[in-house]
Amino acid sequence: MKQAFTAYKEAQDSTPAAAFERLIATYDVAINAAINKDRELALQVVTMLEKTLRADINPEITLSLLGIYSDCQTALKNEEWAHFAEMIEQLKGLWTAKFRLEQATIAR
Amino acid sequence: MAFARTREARIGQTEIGSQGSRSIQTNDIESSYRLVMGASSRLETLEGNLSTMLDLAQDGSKASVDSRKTEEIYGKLRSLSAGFDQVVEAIRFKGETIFTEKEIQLDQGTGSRNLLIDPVRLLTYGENSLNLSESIESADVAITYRTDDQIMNSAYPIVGLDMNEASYISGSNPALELESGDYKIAINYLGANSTVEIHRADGGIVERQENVDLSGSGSEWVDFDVGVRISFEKEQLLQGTDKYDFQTLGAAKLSATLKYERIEKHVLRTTATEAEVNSAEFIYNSPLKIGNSSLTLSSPEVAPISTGQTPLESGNYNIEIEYQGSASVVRLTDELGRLQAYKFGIDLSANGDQQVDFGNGLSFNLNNTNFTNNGSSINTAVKFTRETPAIEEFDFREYATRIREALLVVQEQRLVMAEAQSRIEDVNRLKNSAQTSTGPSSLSMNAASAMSLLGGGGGSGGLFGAISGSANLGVLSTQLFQTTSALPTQANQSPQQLAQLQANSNTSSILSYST
Repeated sequence: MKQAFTAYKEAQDSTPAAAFERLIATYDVAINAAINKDRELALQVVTMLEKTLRADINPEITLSLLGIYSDCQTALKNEEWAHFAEMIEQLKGLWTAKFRLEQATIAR
Repeated sequence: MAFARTREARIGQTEIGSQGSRSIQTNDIESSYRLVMGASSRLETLEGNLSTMLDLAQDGSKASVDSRKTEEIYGKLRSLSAGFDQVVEAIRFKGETIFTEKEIQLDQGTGSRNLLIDPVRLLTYGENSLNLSESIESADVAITYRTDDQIMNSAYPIVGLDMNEASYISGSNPALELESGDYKIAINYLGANSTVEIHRADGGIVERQENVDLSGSGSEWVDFDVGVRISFEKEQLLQGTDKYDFQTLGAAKLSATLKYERIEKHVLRTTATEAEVNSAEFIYNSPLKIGNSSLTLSSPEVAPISTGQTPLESGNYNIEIEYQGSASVVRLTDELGRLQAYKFGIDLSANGDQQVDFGNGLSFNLNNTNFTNNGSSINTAVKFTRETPAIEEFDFREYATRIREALLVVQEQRLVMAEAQSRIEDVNRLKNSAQTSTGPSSLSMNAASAMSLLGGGGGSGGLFGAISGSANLGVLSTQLFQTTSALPTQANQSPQQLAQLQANSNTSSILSYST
C-alpha cells in the first residue's frame, strides 16, 4: 500500500502543473528572502534556479534567464533588495502568464 | 595626392552628423564573426606597418648627422604613416569604418546578448589618436591654361606679363573659403589700374580686386579674401608701350583657370607646440603726427620672396623709416640691431597708401597724409613668423617612443578582437550542441559554462558591456510567448530541493501564488 502511494505521488509530482507550482514556490522563497534581506538564502535560490535550467530544451531562453539571474546576483551583491524582488516578481508573473496560456490552450 | 587628404568642410568647420557618431551593428552571429576575423587580420597588417616604422625611426635617430639620410627616412616614415591611415580607413563593415571610435554591437543570435566593443581610434592624426602625425587644413591651388583660355589670350598681343603662381593664404577668413573645384581668373589689363577677378564656373563673380598695378617690371601679387594669392611676373620690354597699348586698343581681357582643392596636409611632427603659420604683426605701432599731417604704418604681411633674396627668419624686427620725401630710407633690423633689409630712394612724398616690400618675405603699407617734414623718422616693432619645415625639428628618438606606444594600442585591440572571436565561437558551440543533442549533454546542462560566456552581468564591468536587466526581461517575454514548450526549461525543481529551500526560509511567503 505504501509503495502504491509513493508511485502515485511521484507521478503527481512529475506533472507540468506540479513542476510549475514548485517553480512558483521557489520564486516565492526568493521574494521572501528579499523581504527578510536574507542574502544567503536569496543567493541559494538563484543558484538553484541556474542549476535547474535545461539549455537543451531552449538555449535562447536559457541564455536570457542566465542573464537575468546574473543581474539578480549583482543586485544581491549591491544589496538592492527592491530591484532583486522586482526582477523575481516579473519572472514569476511571466511564468504564471505562460502557464495559464498553455492550460487554456489545452482546455480548448 | 601625396601626403594629403581631401576635405569637404570649410577650414575650422565641424562636420555635422559625421560618420564618427554612428555605431556599427551586425545582424547575425555569422556577420559578427566575419567582422571580428576581418578586423583581426587587418590589425596584424597595421602592427607590421608600425614595426617597420619603428625600425626606420631607430635608424633615423642613429643617422641624425647625415641630413640626406634623415630626409630619406623622414620621407619613408611620412609615407608609411599616410599608408597606415589608409589601411585604418579601409577597415570597414557595411561602408562604416571600424577603428574610428565607433561602438560595435556584435549580434550573437536571438536570446543572446550583444557583445559590445568600444574600439579606439587608430588613425595617426586628430584627437584621441595614435598621435603619430598631424593633419593641417590647407588647400592645393594651381593655375592652368585650357584651350578656351589660350584662345582668349591669343586675341591680345600682350608682352611681358606672366601669371606664374597661385597659392593658399593660411589664416584667411574661413567663411569665405572656396569650394573644391575649377574657377576662372579674369584679368582686365589697364596697366597700373588693372582688375583681377575670380569667377565661378557658371560665370558668377566670386571676388574682384581693383587697381592692381600690372605695369612696369618686377613681382606683383594679389591677395583675395577667399584665401588665394595670385603672383605675377612683370617685365617691361618695350620703352614706348608697356606690355600692351590699352590706351589705343582698349583693355586686354586675359583668362586662366584656377584649380582649388580643399586638403588636409599630412605632417609628421614631434614638437609639442602647434605648427607655426606664416604671420606678421606689429608689436608696437604709433603714427608720426605733426599738426594735421601724419605718417602711418599698417598691414604688415608675409609676402612672396623675390628671386635671389634670403627669406627672413621668424623673430622680432624693427622697421625704421627716415622720411626724406622722394628719397626716403627704410631699414629693417633684428633684435640685436643687425641690418636685415634696406631700401633707399623710396618716394614717400605722394599722399595716400604705398606698399613697401623688402623682398625677403615682409611687406607693409605706409600712409602719408600731407606729411612733408623731411628728416623725421618713425620706428615700429614687428613680429614675423615663418612656417618652418617639420623635418627641421623632427626628433626620431621621440617619434620611436610614440610608435612603441601605438604598437601597444594595436596589440591591445588585437587581444580585444581575439577575445570577441572566442566568445562568439563559444556561444555558437553551446547553441549547436544544445540543438543537436537528444538528451541533455554535459555542456548544454552546464549553466556555469554558459554563464562564463556572458561575463559582466547587467551592463557593467568586464571587457564587454551587456544589455540591461529590463531589456533582458523584455527579450525573455518575447521568447516565452513565441515558444510552445518553454516551461521545462526552468520548471525542474525537485520536491526535495524545494523542501530544503523552504526549510531554510524563516517566514512563509506572503506573496505566495494561488491558483
